[in-house]
Amino acid sequence: MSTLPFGPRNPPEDPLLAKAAELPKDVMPQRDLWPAIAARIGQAGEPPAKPAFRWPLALAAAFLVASVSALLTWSLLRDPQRASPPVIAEAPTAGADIVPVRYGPNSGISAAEIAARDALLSQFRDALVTLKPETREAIQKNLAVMQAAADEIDAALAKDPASGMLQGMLAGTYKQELSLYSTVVTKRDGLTRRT
Amino acid sequence: MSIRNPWLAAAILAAIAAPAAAQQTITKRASVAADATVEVSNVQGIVKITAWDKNEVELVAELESDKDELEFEATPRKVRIEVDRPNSRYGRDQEDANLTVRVPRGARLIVDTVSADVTVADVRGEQDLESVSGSVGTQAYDAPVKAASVSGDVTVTGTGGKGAVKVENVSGTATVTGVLGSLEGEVVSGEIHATIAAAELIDVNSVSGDITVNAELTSTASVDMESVSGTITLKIKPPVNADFDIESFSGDIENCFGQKARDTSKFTPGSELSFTQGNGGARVELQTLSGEIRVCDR
Repeated sequence: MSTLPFGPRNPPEDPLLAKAAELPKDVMPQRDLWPAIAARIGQAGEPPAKPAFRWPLALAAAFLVASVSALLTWSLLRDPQRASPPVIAEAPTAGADIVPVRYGPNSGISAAEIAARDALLSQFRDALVTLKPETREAIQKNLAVMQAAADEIDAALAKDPASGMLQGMLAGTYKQELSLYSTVVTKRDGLTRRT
Repeated sequence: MSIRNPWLAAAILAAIAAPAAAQQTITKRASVAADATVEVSNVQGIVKITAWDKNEVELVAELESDKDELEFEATPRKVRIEVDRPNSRYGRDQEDANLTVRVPRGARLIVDTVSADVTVADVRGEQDLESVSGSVGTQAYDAPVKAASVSGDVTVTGTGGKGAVKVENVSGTATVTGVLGSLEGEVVSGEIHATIAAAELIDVNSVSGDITVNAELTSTASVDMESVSGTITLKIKPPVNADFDIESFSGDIENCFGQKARDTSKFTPGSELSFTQGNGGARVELQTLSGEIRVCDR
């Protein structure tokens, strides 16, 4: 078994390292961290907070990327003709009143993650017209439930920004939202012919 | 009463005959391997799958709409059954497509529907059953079972096998009974009610729905239950030998083993409770933001 050279001595031979070297050295935080830091400083008598672990959000982001890419790949493999200009059967109205979950300033969900979610959302809105009215209503109610949860978690994160439990719950809510859109889109695309 | 106008009579006859002509029953059969994969997709109606002691797949499809197209593709390893419906808005095409399928007992199932209910009986192979608004009901044996619906109810009944069970639901209720070993579940506003014996893994969460689990834990069991605002109830069959970590941001913690929760901070309303019951061993982690947590052995 041969071993691939790896490390700083071989950057030109390693395309991954070459790309990594091009990355910016300074990364700006996604939001203003000072209010949370100031709040923590005020708790001088408290034991040191647990380090904020971001893996729940990373997990949710990974889920999003996997969902969207799997959805696109699946659509292309299923019927290549659908990849070229999408045919809109009828102007959808049922999905127009669907309001996606708005994540608050403490959520840490990035603009890129929201943009990717919104791309899935537009397909979801198209798919809604094929569902029973009571199903659409149930979906709207549950998006409202997710919104209430996101608001509640965001408010709690304002008080305890380092809470892994809260971050995990927020990531779970985000994942549930994406999963809902993905399920409806996948079933609609898989089971109906676009005419 | 007699109809004297022949055109009117013809129109009435046509109106009566048209639905009859549109409805069609199609039967298909194929010889397959004992553990063949059977994929079934349907938009509306029912999907009923039962196992039999033949290495054959039999489909009886009753299609109410002449717009529906039935696809049946079979190889010895895989059968694909799909009712393909033109893209349409709900309300225009409400005809059902009812699929009754018989498969080898060891078949592996993949079922997708929009609003068709799914029922599966006696199938021992792995199952992946999903619907948007239809209900999903099946039995769990030794192979993994995933049952999911957005707004329909999900029911999984164990039969003494050790197949891992996974349920997903948005607003419907997920009911799991008599399962051995492993349960994973996710709901939004729906509820999870589960009874699990010899549990090795329980991993369930909800946004606002209540979660109730009755469990018998093995010494190495791992239990994670989480809800944002729903009530979590865990009843463990005695003797209880487990290490508990319970955390709540603002909800109540009820523990019938006696230990009391302590505040996590004087600046936040959070409370937590960690203790070992009996000899310890199993790991139990329960978390909520504003819901209630109840843990008990009765």
